[in-house]
Amino acid sequence: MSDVEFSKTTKIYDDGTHALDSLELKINEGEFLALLGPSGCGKSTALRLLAGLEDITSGEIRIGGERVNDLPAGARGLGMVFQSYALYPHMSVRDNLEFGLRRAKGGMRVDEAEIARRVDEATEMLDLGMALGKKPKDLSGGQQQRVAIGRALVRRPKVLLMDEPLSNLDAKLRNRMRFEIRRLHEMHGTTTVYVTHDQIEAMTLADRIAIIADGKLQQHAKPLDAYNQPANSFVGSFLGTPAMNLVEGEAHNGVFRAGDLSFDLPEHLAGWQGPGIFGVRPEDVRIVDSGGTRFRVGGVERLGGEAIYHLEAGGHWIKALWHRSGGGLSSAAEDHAELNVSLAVPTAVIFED
Amino acid sequence: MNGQGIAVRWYVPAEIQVLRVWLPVAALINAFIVGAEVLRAREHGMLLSVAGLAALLLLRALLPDGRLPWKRTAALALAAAGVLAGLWSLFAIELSFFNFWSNTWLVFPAGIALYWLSVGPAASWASGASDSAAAESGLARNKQVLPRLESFGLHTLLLHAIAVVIVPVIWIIDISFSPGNVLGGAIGDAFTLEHYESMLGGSQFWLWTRNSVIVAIGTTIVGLLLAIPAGYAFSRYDFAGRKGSMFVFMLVQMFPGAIILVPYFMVMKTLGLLNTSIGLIIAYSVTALPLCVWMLKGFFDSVPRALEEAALLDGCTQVEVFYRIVLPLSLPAVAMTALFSFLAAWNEFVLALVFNTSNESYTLPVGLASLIPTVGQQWGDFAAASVVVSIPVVIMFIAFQRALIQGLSAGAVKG
Amino acid sequence: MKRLLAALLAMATVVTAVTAAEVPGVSLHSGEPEYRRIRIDVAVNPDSDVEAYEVWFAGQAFQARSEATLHSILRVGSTAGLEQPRPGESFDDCWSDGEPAHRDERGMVVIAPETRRWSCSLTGMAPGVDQWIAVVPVDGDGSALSAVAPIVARTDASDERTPPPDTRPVLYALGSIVLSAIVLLSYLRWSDARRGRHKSKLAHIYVAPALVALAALTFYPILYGIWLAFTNADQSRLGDEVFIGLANFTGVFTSPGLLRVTLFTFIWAFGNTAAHVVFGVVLALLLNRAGLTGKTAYRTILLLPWAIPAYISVLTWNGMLQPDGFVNAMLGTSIDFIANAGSARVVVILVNIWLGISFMMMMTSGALQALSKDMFEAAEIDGVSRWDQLRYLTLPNLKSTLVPVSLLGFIWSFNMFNTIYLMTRGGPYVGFGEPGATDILVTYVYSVAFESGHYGIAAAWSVLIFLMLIGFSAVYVKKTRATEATA
Repeated sequence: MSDVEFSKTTKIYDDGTHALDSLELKINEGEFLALLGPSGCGKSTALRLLAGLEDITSGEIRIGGERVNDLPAGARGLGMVFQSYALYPHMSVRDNLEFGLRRAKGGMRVDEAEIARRVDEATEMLDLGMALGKKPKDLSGGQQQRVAIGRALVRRPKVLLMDEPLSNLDAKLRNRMRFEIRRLHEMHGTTTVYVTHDQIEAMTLADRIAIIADGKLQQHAKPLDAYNQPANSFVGSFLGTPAMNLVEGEAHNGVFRAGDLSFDLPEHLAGWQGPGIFGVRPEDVRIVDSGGTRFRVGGVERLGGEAIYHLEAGGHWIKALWHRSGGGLSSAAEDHAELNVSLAVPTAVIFED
Repeated sequence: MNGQGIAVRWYVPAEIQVLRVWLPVAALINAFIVGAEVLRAREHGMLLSVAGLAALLLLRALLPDGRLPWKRTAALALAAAGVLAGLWSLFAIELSFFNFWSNTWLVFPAGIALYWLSVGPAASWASGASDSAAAESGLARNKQVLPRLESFGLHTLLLHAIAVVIVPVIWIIDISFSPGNVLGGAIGDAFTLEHYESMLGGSQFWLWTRNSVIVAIGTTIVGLLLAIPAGYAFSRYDFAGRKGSMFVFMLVQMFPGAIILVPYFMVMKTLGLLNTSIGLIIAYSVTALPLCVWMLKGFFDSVPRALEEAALLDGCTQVEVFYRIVLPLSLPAVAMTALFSFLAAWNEFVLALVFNTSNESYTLPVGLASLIPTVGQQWGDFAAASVVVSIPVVIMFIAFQRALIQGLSAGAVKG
Repeated sequence: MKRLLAALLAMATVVTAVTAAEVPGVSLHSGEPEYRRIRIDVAVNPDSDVEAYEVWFAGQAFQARSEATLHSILRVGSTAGLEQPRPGESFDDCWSDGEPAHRDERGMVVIAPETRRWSCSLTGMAPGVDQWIAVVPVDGDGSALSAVAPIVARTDASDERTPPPDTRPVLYALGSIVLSAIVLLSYLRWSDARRGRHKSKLAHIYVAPALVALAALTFYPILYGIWLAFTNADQSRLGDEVFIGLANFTGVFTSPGLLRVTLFTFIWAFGNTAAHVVFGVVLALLLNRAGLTGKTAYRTILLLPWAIPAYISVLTWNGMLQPDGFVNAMLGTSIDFIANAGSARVVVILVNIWLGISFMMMMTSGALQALSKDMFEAAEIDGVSRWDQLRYLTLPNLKSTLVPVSLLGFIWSFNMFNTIYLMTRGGPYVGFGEPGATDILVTYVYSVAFESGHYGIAAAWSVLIFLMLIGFSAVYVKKTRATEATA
């Protein structure tokens, strides 16, 4: 059993910072969970608490049903990939892979034959054959990354922890490594906790994502569910590029009013009464021949296959996305043109906060 | 892998962990005490410290492992023996500071082991009666207790280090305020300013100071005039002979004055430069030159080249670039190098000793050392002068420690 | 030291009018006057009561020893198996019956009981003033056995100042070295220009002053020192030394103390460096612990040995280690640490260790702070114990700093003159013409050159040291490059 459970896990640093506030989160065995959030939100803290690198202030963490609050990091049977890779700079790649196995204490030591077998396996899986004798500094970023993953995997960890593992790579390599990480996960099925601030990584890699802000869990759901049904305005705006359009105002009898701007709510939101934040994703904004709301085009960012329109009405700015394969807007719209725009689409949402 | 098992397997009480580390440390200190007792030729103390050393090492070897209860019994007996032996000797001998200290290093470790192994969580763990609940609460307790015990140990060791460092300082200050030329006496038992009056009121101290100031300032100026251009050239230009001359500079750094003492002396004597400031200035600025060049090269390396290129584009000549851009930017660095060569000249002893034979041309180091000849040592005057000379130097070293160390290591490591 | 002790003893003894022996017949030697020396010839009648002859002197006439200063003591006794050092090898030259006098293992002159005539060349006589000199036979208790009858003597030799040494050879040598350095630089500049490196055309001019200074004041003295090693240069022959082949080197390699002083130098340098590294690293590790309160205070105090001028620290320790000093007070003893060879060696090494730890600690601290924290967290997760982390992660990663610094530290210790000179002056005494018990090579060179005045022999020792240092430097350069390559 290697499921992970945070219950009421809280971390308050000595300086009084509430890094993590009563986190409730369950990660199933074999699941790939992404902890997603802006920097400083507490996601890394959660990972470090799980790893045993920091002490829990209150609450509990369980791995495989067992409370690990006070177990030293080395006893928890985890593997971790660091943002900086944290390879041992003075050791060859082979030594890096073997070191943990050779030096482990508390009955976790592994015999020589088994070490060799695991290292061979990792080498082959991660295509490190050519690099085994080299020192980390002689490797490319991608190779170092793979060594770091290999080092975590040879331990046969109950849970694999990854702390922003791709953020030091360039964009192209990042895409490739993303794919490889997913492939490895599918091969091994190791329970994985993956910390990132990059929503694309979270969306593409994870079985489920946990979005954290200000030390609090905002939403824990499958990626598409979180995208489609964000739990609150933070999740809505955090997921998706360009970000979801949010308009703060008041709904009354199917009409949403925000200062000078007012528009009809879609049918499924028509029952909403009182203040709220209306959200609609840029790709869902529609142009209609009649009805809708009159918006002025304030500027266009043309990216080739797609374009982002900045629209203004009554002092409110929203974005709308046009895509070549058939989107909501016409690419013909020029600056200062006026368009009839409908925000009353089935995917629109209203948040309380 | 059963979950309950992990906690039991990983749980070792903080007390035992601490003993595992600190018993060998205590043994090491007892080994040092053995050395001191040999020096004192006190048979009783020698025997006791050897016994203490053996007892602590054996105790370390017998520390319980949580499985074999007999180990606890053996360790308890041994610890008790250690405590008794230490206490007995403490009462049996006269109580000098050293005796008290050395016995403490037997009684305290053995006593604390005795206490921990007889009561509390370590005792129950040691007798093999540890279940998973106890282990789990023990692990939680360790997190509370260990840091405190560790910091206690850490401070103990550091305080020892501090004592060794600070005692000579306090002693010399005390001597400087003690009347007469006595070396003994309790610290702070008498107070007089006679030594300060005789040193600062007399002419000889000020003569030495004047010589030292002239030599140090001269060295700094000459040294910088030679080192700045060279450091800049090494930092910025690639030229024929660069590697060769850099190597030469590094090599020379390893031949301090002592080796070329005799020929130096002969040359200076022939040129009539003995007993003059110029002789010392020349010698010092050349011996400090390699390190200054290395330091400055390192500093110039950190001035971005783009700035110079921009100035060149603006129509400055290379020389102007150097004086208008590089030098002002690296002024703090140049100041550090200046301070370094000043202090080096200020503290140098051998060359000054050899080059200066008359009291009038002594620099402070030679002058102060001349107060402590083989016979007729003027400890009080020496102490007073030392305190006066050291204070500004120490302040400079402490204030600029980082830069000085950086400069020194630039020469040592990057060479 | 011995002589002074004897003088103190003699002063304490009450002068008695016992005149059992004949008054020695003292006369002035008829040879050429020497620099600040007066040579006396003494005629004595062998007398079994006489244990020693004391030579006393003063600036005015005197009747009792208490009014004069003791200059030398000549012991009467068997000379069997004693050395007869050549004139000029020790403080005062003495002859018995025309032969260089024997000296015992402490350098004291010994004359055979049957000797009837002996003479001594007394040094340290102020020129241009009258000196009264008396020879007093004494018995085993130091009581005078005859009346004190001084004669008047005078040396004016030093009034004629030695002609200023001829500076031309040195200036020629310096000039040619400067010229050749300039020629070399010009050639390098020309070769740069030929290869089209015009950007660096100023570089050689910038480097020139430093290089020329280095050549003139480092390379020239080294070469000059090598030349001196093949000459008979000494205090009395300055500037007109002549080539004497390998004699100095033969002397060095056959000198009785060579092996001992070399061995002690290596023990000294190695012991110091090892202790500096071990204690420096330990202290740096202690100070590097996270959450240590008072870190800055500790650090500042631990820097003191580095910040206080070394000569002051050493002399302070010298005072603390005196029989009535602080260390003995703490130990409850009154040991004269520096009087005994064994304890003197231990003590000078301990004092030098004290001096050097701070620097090593600072260097290690810097290197420790540069280590990645993630690396240790990764090891933590791998379940690597603290000790193994230190052993397999921290120490190997400190290697690239520690190896060059400790090699350099070794060279520094090898050349550390101050500590030994100011603690023991190389003593305690071991044997005549031999290095003292705590002498290392550089302090011995100093004493050969500046206490005995044998510049040629000292230069030969310097050449030996120089060769050793070249060896270390080669290792240093190789190791530094190697650690840089692997770092």
